[in-house]
Amino acid sequence: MTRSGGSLTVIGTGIRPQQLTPESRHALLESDDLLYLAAEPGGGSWLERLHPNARSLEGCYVDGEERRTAYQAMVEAILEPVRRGRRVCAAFYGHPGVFVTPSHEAVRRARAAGFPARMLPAVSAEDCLYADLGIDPGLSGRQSYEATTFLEQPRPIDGRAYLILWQISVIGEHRAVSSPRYEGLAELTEALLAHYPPEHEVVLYEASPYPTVNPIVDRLPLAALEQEQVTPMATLVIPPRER
Amino acid sequence: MAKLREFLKTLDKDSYDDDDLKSLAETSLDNTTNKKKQVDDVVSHDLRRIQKAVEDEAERDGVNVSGMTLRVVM
Repeated sequence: MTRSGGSLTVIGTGIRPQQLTPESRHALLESDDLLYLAAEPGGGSWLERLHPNARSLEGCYVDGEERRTAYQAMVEAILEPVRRGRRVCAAFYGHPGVFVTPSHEAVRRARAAGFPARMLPAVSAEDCLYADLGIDPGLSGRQSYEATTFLEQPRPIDGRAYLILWQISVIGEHRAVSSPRYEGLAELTEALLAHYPPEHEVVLYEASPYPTVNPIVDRLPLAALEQEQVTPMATLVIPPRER
Repeated sequence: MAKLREFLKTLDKDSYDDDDLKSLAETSLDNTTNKKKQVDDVVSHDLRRIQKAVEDEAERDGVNVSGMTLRVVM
């Protein structure tokens, strides 16, 4: 049974403001309350200009605390106005369903409580990566993993496909932190050297959140990865070993 | 806060050549400190320079950038 009144729509803002889809923009503008998480320090003023009742979820993060605690707080912050009969829009940067734990949980719990809830698709960092690096994943295939999960739960690597590893700046870090954890890069490099030669070229990539600014695309031999001061939002792209 | 970031978000990709961009930046950022460097950063199209400039601007506005949590949501 669906309850009347409250509802939840989860949207993604894309990586740049221009990537907000017309569908998501409509859902945002039609909502009573907008709860958002922006990627940049102090960001969100753009969303606050779009919506009179916009509120950041940033306060759910507490430096040094387990990230799952922050996610629980985010889910509760999103669901509380839904229970009061409000039409809530929750906006996350990128795609709201890709590498975003609280968005899925909020939709699941809203539906379980009888409220209409939906998630709309959006432009993810992976979409930007394919465009910026000129990769067609349909040609060679690709494997894509969160970096900590990749190390903690090893799985077979297909040497003929691209390997994409996300969140490499916080490998092994389950808490909310304010700076990258570079130690994890050594462990990651060691694990990858078991599958690729040291001179194998890899790419450190970061999509640009600004329309006129180029993405970060740093090419380097795999063996040099552990010495890199990667940017906080960096992604590691490993081209196929066998063509 | 962070006028440079807000200015950049108003632009459309490939809508301006570098001279247009420079002119727009000079007009839009005329109340910021260290304006010449910021305009240079805008037309550099270099994300690392832009990120540094935005952080510097935020710090000048009293924001403790180093204390901000990485927005990792998984």
